[in-house]
Amino acid sequence: MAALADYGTYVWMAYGVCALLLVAEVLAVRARARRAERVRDGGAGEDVR
Amino acid sequence: MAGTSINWFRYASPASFFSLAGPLARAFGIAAALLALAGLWIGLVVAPTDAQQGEAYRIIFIHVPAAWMSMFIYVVMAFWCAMSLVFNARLAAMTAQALAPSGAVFTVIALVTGSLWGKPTWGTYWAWDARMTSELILLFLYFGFMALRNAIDDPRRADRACAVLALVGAVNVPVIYFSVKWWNTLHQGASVSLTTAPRMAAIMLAGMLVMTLAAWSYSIAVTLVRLRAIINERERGAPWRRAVAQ
Repeated sequence: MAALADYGTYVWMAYGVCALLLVAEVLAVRARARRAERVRDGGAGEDVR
Repeated sequence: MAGTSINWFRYASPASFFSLAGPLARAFGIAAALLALAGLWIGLVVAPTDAQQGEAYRIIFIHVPAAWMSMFIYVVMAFWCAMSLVFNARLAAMTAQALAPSGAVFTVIALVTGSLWGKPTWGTYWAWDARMTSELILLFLYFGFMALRNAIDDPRRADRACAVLALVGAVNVPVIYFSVKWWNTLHQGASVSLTTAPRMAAIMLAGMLVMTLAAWSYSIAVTLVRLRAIINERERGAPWRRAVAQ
């Protein structure tokens, strides 16, 4: 097993971009969920008849 | 038996599904974290250096699961779109709406990690070959789906328009999958197939499959949280929602 630092720029850039995108998605989803909780009683919403 | 059976159609209603989605999202979120830790341990620590590609091959532990998820999520999205068209089911359309951003994220990850793998192994970040181009088209289909959704104010009309777009775009998924067989591509052929033995070491395959399960669990968790938000947004005037809020 090589040392983790020897894996090279491309490997760590790939893992870094992946982590960044997933964290951004989780934060965006949580923000949307909180926003939706706040506004759920604020309007008429969709006609569900 | 009839006394113990679960009426699954009960959960086709946003009102019933809303309370189920919360605990499910938490469970899948925890499973995703544990599986990702195990997969990263195998992929970055346990798996040996590849004889041909050196250390650069370790990108497959995120690239392949992301590419699989990008296609799988689209198929699931198209399925729920078909359900929403056939049964006029609101929850099916909401589920498709909740899946699209996660599918787009996995497509971006597949494209970016693929190009970062391509540079050290093929000598280029990008080539307009069939696999990469069809994967890029998949990303545009996800973007188109989300843009169309946001462009139409009436949610039910948006559901129908998006369902048609998703179903038409589904033809791209087999093109992506079989592109390496149908055309002469720079992208290598499949190393893992349901019909043939894997052409990679067992520990590498194990790491990739564990990471795939992690990506699967993550997608379910994020989609369920997003779905709850969509239900809140679209049903905020519904009597059941006001009752829950009180």
